[in-house]
Amino acid sequence: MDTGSIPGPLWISFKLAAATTIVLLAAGSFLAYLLVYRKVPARAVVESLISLPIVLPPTVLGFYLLILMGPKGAFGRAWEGIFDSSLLFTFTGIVIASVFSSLPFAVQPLKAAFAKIDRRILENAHVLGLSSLATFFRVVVPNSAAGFAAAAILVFLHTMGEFGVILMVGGSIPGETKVASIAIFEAVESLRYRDAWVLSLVLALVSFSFLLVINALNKGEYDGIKS
Amino acid sequence: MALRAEIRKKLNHFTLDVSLACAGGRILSLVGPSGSGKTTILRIIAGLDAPDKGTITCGEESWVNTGTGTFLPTQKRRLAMVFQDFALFPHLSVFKNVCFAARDRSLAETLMKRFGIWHLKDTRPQSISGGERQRTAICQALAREPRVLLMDEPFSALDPVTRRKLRMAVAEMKRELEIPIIHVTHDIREALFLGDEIVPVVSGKIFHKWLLQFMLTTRGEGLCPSDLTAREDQEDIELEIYDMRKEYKR
Repeated sequence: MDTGSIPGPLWISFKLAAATTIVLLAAGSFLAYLLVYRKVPARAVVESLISLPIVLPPTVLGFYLLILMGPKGAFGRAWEGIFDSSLLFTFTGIVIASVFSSLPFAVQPLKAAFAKIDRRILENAHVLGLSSLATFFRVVVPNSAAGFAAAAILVFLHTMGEFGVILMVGGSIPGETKVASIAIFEAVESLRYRDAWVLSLVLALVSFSFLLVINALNKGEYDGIKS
Repeated sequence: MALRAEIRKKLNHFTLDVSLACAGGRILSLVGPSGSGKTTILRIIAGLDAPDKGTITCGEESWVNTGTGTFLPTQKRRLAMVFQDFALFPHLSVFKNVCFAARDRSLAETLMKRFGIWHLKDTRPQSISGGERQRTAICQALAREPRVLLMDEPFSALDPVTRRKLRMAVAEMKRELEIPIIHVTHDIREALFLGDEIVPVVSGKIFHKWLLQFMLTTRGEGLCPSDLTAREDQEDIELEIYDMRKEYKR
């Protein structure tokens, strides 16, 4: 067994999941805040676009991102103009791709958590002198802790298992863009079943542990409902 | 310092059109049936809603002037509001709720001791009674040292005994505060007890005859529509209400 082929991809997956989670907790909470508390023009279009990665085949999303982030795409050209480097087949590139791919997994739970907060306590915070930003950090965030935890776990797990989008945008460069799910695919293709077993087991155990945390967090909500 | 408001706003079923003034150290009670626009008046004064047309001034400061496009944001008006269902912060203890906007934490402690909730300082609002929540909300509002205090149906969710005790506490507190207090209620007796001035609001308009009719009816005199038409002079009606209020104050 080539042990180097196991920790490397796992580490890339972990780094990718952690970076995506951090970016999406910030960006997702901003989007969720706008959708719940502000008038958003063409709301149905915006919400559908945010949710699109849930239903789109990852290869379709990956293809669009490949075009957008490529040297001829608007985003890729702008990036090259600023940083003088390409986005495709880089770790930064797969972080950006997985941010788009996991966006709904951050926005949906945060939206649900924000919508559950009684509007009057937010109004009371304003009346008591807090700006919208201060109200967000002092009232909205502490009252949406379960939503933030759910969003973080869902994004982290979804990114840990990301395959199609990463393959399209990042390829499979060892130490750079070769994540665990791609390593499993390659291990099976080259009949290295032990590697595939180990990597799959680690991913399954990580996913199960995190889901256990989510269910433990949600347990209180349904405790009183008995058939 | 006085609060003056001239407000016009089109609502679903009628147009709100009122003019109010409340001097410092006095309570102005807005009274009227449910859905008459009372809470909307408070929300507009608080800056939570905007009028279509009108002006609001607090002392020399202009809060709203639709003519000049002035609209001072809620957080800059330095007012406080006691909400109907208290709107306390569930993630904070009672003490932290009271201190939320306090300039001076010792004032928060003094208020809590005065209102008899100091022993609940480490408890969350979800774990205390309605009366205790109400007192917490009043302490939270006062700890901000507001220039104007707004109270939206503050006693409606309480049992009669607690309601009576808290009305007394607010009436006492009013004497010490030198700020305008605007109080909204659908309970005419509460308005008569607390209010230095009573403004009956019916379908968005100030309608003194509505209050007079209630008061005469409860005194057993009754009043038919022709009597109301005969009482054209607004000042006479207000004087008559003023005389009758003395009975309720006793």
